Amino acid sequence: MTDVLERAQVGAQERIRDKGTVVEDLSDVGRLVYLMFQKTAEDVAALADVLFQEGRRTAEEALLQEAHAIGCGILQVRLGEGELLSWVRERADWAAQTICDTYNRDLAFAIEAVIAQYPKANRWVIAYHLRDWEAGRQSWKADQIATTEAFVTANEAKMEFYGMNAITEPKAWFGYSLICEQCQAIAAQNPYKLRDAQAIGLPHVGCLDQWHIEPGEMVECSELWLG
Amino acid sequence: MASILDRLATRWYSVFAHANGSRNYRQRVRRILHDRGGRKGLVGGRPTHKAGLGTYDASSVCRLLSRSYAGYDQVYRQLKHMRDYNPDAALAVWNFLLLCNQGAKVEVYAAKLGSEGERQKDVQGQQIVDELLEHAGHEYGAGLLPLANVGVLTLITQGAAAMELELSENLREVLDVCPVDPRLIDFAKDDGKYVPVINRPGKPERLNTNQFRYMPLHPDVGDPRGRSPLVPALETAFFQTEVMRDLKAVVHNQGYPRIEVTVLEEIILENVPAHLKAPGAEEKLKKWLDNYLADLQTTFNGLHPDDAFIHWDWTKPGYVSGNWGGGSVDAKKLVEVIDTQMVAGLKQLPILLGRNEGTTTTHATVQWQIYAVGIEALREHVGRLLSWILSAALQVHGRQANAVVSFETLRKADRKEEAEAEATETRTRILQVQAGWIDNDEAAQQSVGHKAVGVNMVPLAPIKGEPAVKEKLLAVAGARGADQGSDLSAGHMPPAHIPDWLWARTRSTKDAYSRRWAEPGFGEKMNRYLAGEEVTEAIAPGGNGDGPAVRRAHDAGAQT
Repeated sequence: MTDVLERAQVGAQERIRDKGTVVEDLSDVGRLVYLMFQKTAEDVAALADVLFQEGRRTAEEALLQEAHAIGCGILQVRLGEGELLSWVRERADWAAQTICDTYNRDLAFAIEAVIAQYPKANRWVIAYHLRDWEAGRQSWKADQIATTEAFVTANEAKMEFYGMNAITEPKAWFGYSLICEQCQAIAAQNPYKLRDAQAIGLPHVGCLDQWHIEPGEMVECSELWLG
Repeated sequence: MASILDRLATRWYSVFAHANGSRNYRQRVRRILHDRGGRKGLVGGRPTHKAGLGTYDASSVCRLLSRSYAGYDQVYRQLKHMRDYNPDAALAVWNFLLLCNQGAKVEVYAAKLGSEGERQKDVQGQQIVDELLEHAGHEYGAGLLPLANVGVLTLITQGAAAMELELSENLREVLDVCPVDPRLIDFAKDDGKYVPVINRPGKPERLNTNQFRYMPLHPDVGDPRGRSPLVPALETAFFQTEVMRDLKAVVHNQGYPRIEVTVLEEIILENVPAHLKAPGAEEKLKKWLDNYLADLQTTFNGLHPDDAFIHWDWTKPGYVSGNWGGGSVDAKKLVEVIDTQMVAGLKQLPILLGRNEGTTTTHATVQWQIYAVGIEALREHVGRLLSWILSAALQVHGRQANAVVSFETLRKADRKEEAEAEATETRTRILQVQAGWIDNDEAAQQSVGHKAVGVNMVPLAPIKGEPAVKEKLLAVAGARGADQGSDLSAGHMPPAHIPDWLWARTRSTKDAYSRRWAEPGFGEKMNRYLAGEEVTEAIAPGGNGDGPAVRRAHDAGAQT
């Protein structure tokens, strides 16, 4: 137990420390390794494009499903230029940036940890340990990122759908897994107004809860806003 | 006359009953109505007793419908004997009774239908029936199941079930529901139709069918008595009994080892007294030898099981072992033939009579389904009989209502098979909704027996001019009860699952992200790094946020 607490304290201290400081404090070899493996602006841009394409399809699918849920027989949704598409673009850019920033920070700490464990490690030793670190991180990080991006985008599209198509104020209910205290606290205050739910959104990374909208009066199917 | 009384009673009720707010007025009005002709066609006591049952034997007289062979009293007695003493028949009856009576209930519905043609429960009628069933059939244990049990037993033994209502002499109370032995009921023609009668010498007495009901099982045309399903087993049961007796004799004779004593004739003859050897003494010699053998036989037969064998050496004791089968009929095959006949005659499955014959799962399932249908048919007969008799009791009490007796469902198929079949049917209905053939409500009615209540409705096929079904959704959203939610989400709960499409989008996002993340790949970078490629730090314009952008060493041309 003590070991766990010590590691938790060390982890907290690492988060407080600035990543730039960590990189500067690395040995020459460590800094070179960091510069080699870090994610660059090119990586960010490429990742943002991928996330945008996926986000766009997620938003389209969410709009289609919500249209079906209120009984409108829509066959396909094509997200055109507009606020929602812009939001998806901005979200993809922001997400790609933060994903890479987080990776770079974790990379710096990982290199520092390897050097701390093997003070005389050369580049090959560091690279060997980084290979394992990278594999371990990706095993859970990919799921976390995919879940977060898909759920958040679907949620935003759903909120926009009801925000644009509701004639009377819908009610929003939060729930599903409720596995963390933060989500439980939000669910305890159910139901919410739509704008409040939109402001809250999904409260944390990897959140598996959802906003369920209880629609009031909606516009006719022929006048439905679909992005 | 009746209509005038009805109107008078209705008026009386409307004036006084509401003024007093008492239920007694309604009952008093009903009582007056029934006292003045509302109980025509009913008789006090038991109809069979009024008709003379119990004072005359039910032997055949002219004008009665003659009984078929299976309807003779002797055959009934043989059936009852077989049912109670033959192990196979007793087990068959046991199976019938236990499987038929796994629970039953009675529900009372008002004769008048609701505004949408639906049946409406009659609470007061239910109360009357429940109170009646607390003591009805008390000779047999009182209650619905004991009565049903007697009904099933007479149905399978005698091919019919009969019951009657016993009323008080003032015709206001139902004293009892009495099962009647169907073999005591005869049939005679009245106006061209057969009616149940009690056979009094010289004049059959017609039974009051307002209180008495006879329910035959599979009656022939022109013979409403019904047919016992056990009758064919009689022939086999007799044969089975004969074979068992024969087997018993064979077992006694050949089944056990016996003592064998050999008497050495040569030595005996040498020791015969001389005068018996003389010519002309042959008869005396034969008599002497016979007596000698008879003495020996008596001696050996008189030995106790633990006696020692003490004898001269001119006798030689030994054993003859039991002999099974050599030269005689193969008893096992014979019994197999009888078994097959018994199983068919008793309308049973081999496994239900303790015969574990090998069969495929498919065959076993089909056999069980057929058997279960037979059980349900028997139940249905008894259920109809009890429903009728209880409905008649309700009418005696002045309730225009119908009692419906139903039994617990008998499982006919494996749960997994049922679930798979239901899944297939559900998928078919979803396809029908998507094709625009039916809507969500119709599909839900077929699947679960009520309208659709979920918010995750199957997307409807686009129908021109079809209005949105948001009204349904409004009702639906309100109908999702707190029982589905946790305590933390007051009242309603969001959908109890993440929709499949969202999981599909999550997987797609993960795949795309993972592919992109692998290019320019950590492995590729690793290889370059291990190959000696180096980078130098540089801050590129438009760098990646708070991380330092880099320029590759070979681009910058720098060495470290």
